[in-house]
Amino acid sequence: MIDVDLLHTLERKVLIALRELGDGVTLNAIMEKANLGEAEVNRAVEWLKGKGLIKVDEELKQKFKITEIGEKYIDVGMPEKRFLMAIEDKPLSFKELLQNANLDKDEFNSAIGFLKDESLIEIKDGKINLTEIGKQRLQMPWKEDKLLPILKKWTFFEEIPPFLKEVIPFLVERGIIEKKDVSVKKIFLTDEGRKILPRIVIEDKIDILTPKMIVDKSWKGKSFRKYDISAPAPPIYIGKKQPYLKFVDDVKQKLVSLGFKETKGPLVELAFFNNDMLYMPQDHPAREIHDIYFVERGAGDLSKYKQLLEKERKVHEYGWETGSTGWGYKFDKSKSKDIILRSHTTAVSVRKLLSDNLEIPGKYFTLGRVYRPDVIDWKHLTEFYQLDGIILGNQMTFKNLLGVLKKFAVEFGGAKKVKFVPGYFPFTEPSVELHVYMEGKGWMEIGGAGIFRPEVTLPLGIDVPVIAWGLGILRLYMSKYNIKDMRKVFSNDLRYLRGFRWNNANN
Amino acid sequence: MPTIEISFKDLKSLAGVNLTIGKAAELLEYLKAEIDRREGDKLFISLEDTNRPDLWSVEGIARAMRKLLGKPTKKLFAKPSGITVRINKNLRNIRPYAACAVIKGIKISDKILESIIQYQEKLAENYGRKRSKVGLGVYDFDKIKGKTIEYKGISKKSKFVPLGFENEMTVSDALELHPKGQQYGKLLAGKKLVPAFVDKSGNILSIPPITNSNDTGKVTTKTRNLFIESTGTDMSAVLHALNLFVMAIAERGGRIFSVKMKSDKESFVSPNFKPVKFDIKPSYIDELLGLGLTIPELKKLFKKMDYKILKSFPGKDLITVEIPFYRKDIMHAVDVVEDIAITYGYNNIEAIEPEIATSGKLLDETRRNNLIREILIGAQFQEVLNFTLTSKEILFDKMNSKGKSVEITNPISSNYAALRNSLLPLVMKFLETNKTVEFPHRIFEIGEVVLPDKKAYNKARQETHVCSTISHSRATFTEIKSALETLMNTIGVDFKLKHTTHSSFIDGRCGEIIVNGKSVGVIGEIHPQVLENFNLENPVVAFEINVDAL
Repeated sequence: MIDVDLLHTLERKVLIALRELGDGVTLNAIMEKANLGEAEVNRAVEWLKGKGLIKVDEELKQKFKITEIGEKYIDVGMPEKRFLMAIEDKPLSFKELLQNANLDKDEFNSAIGFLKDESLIEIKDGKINLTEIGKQRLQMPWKEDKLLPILKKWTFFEEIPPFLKEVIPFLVERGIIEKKDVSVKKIFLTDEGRKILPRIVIEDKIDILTPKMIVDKSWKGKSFRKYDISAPAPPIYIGKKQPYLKFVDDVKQKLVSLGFKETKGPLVELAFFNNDMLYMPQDHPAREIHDIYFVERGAGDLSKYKQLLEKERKVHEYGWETGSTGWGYKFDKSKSKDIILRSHTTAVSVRKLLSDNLEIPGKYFTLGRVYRPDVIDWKHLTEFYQLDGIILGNQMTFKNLLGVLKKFAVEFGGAKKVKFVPGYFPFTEPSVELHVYMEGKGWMEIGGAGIFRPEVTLPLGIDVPVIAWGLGILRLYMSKYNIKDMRKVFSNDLRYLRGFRWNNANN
Repeated sequence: MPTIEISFKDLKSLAGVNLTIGKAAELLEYLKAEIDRREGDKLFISLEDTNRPDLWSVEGIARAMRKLLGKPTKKLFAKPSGITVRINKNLRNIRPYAACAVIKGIKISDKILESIIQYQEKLAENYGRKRSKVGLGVYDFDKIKGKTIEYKGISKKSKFVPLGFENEMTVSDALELHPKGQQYGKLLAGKKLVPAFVDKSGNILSIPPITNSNDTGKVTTKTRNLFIESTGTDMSAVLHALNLFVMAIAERGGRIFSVKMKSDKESFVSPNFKPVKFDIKPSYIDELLGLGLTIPELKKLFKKMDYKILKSFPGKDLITVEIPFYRKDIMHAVDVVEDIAITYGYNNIEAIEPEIATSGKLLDETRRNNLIREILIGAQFQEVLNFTLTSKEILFDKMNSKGKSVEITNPISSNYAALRNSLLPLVMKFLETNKTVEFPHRIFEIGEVVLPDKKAYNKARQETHVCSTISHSRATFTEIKSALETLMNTIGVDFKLKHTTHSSFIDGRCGEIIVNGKSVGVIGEIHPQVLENFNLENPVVAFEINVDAL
């Protein structure tokens, strides 16, 4: 049973109009009766329909209105009328007629065909003559002259005087008037509606509280209409952070609170920084076209780093002064100059170690895009994000590295249990993988770390231990929000972005 | 990172211990390896350490496991076989290095043969860089005639029967017809001669690194005695691969015999199982690990890794360690230190947070970007994230514009072959994807773009741009200008707009955004042709700014 108190004033007004008008009335009739605008009646009708108080039947009807041409003919008359009038006195040649009858070529052509077919004119010796029927026709009133002014606004077929209806198809065909099919709504009360109808009154209750009421205090002594607070409200499309970038913001904030300074590096890198400086041999499979995007071979400019490049050659070939045997191959400096898209953010850590404003002790992180030639699917992207960092300081040991990882496991993995597993990276030794136990998910590898090899740090003139670490930022994000398909990180689905729920793991 | 397929039963029998799968997984962690997946008795093991080719076989893994478990392993030594291989100098610019060995009295089952072939391939593919650096071959020793084998360059017109074929053919034909010829023939492309092993009676034993001959180069379960060779372009890698391969096969039984290798310059004997000596300061170990290990403790740990302490000097900060020949990955004392940590057990080491007091800080540009994001989000724009990789079609053709972008020479897909030089095209693409989603669409992205720059060291210039778009049925220039003004006023930047023409925008409704007399971006209403190119049916207004220039 409907709570009559909850009915909106508009609904009440429509119901009262129906009470007076009876069933089967149009929206227009209600508008007039209730003194409401079209939008208001429409809204009220939708609400009432939703509540099952009224039923709406739709009927398809035709409406007519003059076109621009029709508009013109109201003033100058139909072309065939002008045609006949021009030859009323004497037959005229085509040319003369065109000049005298004030007809354009199109009008002339369409009129002449029609007039001939109806035998209103005949053509003799190149002149157009008015026939007897034509003469009679001229004496009769032109229905079009009456109809066209009526159709200045959209008019239903039923509203047009019956004797004028016959010319309608003819005028539509010639584009003088246009036709529109419209559905006309008719409103009927349901049984439920009929039942409550006697109880509907327009109460003197305040609907919307207006500034005027507040100022003139007219609200005093009146009551407020009760609202249906469970009625659905339209959504607001607010501005929102992209979900993954919001996660990134949080991670960065956490790292800052742990004392890390943010650093950055270029996306278009040289193999020197991406590979050589990280002691990756030049024939290493990870340096081949299957693992790195190349922009231009050997085209980078390393003239600023001549000495370092030479040092790096020695490190790779025989270890230089690092105490290492080196890789024992012939280093090719032109390969160092390959322009590539960086394949890991460890390249950025190298750049930080190389920078003038490096602080020792110091903690740095970088979070950015990296590129790999992979076919995109649910677990591979060709462009993704990495989070990398370094910690430099005297007397840091492997114990400290594990300490840092344990902290990360708690901060970023929410981990209760942590496991360290031997790992392999070409640029760190010892190397370790960080595995955490996540409630309901089991063991998961969330990062890797190690102490930079002397072959990496010594050529840079750094003789304190440097812890290098990386966290699986995408893996952490996807785990947190239960995202299975990596492509969703870069989702192009506006509905998904608008509907993302931060407190809900089922995104 | 190679992955190998092994039989769990085989592993247990070689390791000489009845392992559970859990225990096997735990031991594999010490070797930086893990079980990727299991199909009944079959284990697929991925080996992370690209510098430990000694572990890329079930034989190698079993051997390392025996050491970790404190069990004895097979002693490796080679008696002279009496065979000499002469290396001809005409291979100098082709494939100049070779090393060989003989194994006698081995029983080979199908399983063992499979395992040997898998290891041969893993070594040649990964360690041998697809056979270019090193390739390996195995032969039926009993079918080789004479005591002297020649490794020399022969003409491509020479004839032999390649492995798996019945008829004799020329080397050139074999390079074209044999599957391995098709796969690896390019390694010999452009050379007049091809490398070959030829026995005393002139039989071609093989054309390394392509294929063996079908007569002598076929190994079956009946074969008892093996001739093994390794050839390539890097002497130390060639010898190392041979040593590892021989070591693995010998795990299956048989006795190893050495071969005398002779060239015009030198002569040596292979295989070579000689360990390497390494001097290490115990203080260095402690500096890195902080475990305070004593010499006896170190000795115990070393044993698990097949290391030996040869000498320690009381009162002196020095020990001499013997590293087995197969550990060529030991390049620096730090590598030994890691092995100590691994055998000690990473999880037995106390994890202590370093006491380094530093103050953290975001990059200035991150803070600036965050401010811009905050303002635009407040102005009801939804942030989006696009790839920086895209296609020239989206960047230029669809935008009705011309320009240059940084391109990749080895793209996987033409959809991801160019770096975006502006954000707008991808935001337009975003609008296209979402044309059926409820309007209005107020979208923004802030991020990197890359422009070609001949003068830069990397021939590229990176900028941070922000791009906002509004699209709905009645979107107007005024609406986007309001957004731009709000953004600029809130940041605190004064700007002017100057009419400009831009083929992506409607003429007369497009302006340059001028800050301090310099153009920093563009604003306007998108040209209907561009809308059509992106299949859009609603007007779009947009601005894009280089925020680095503000």
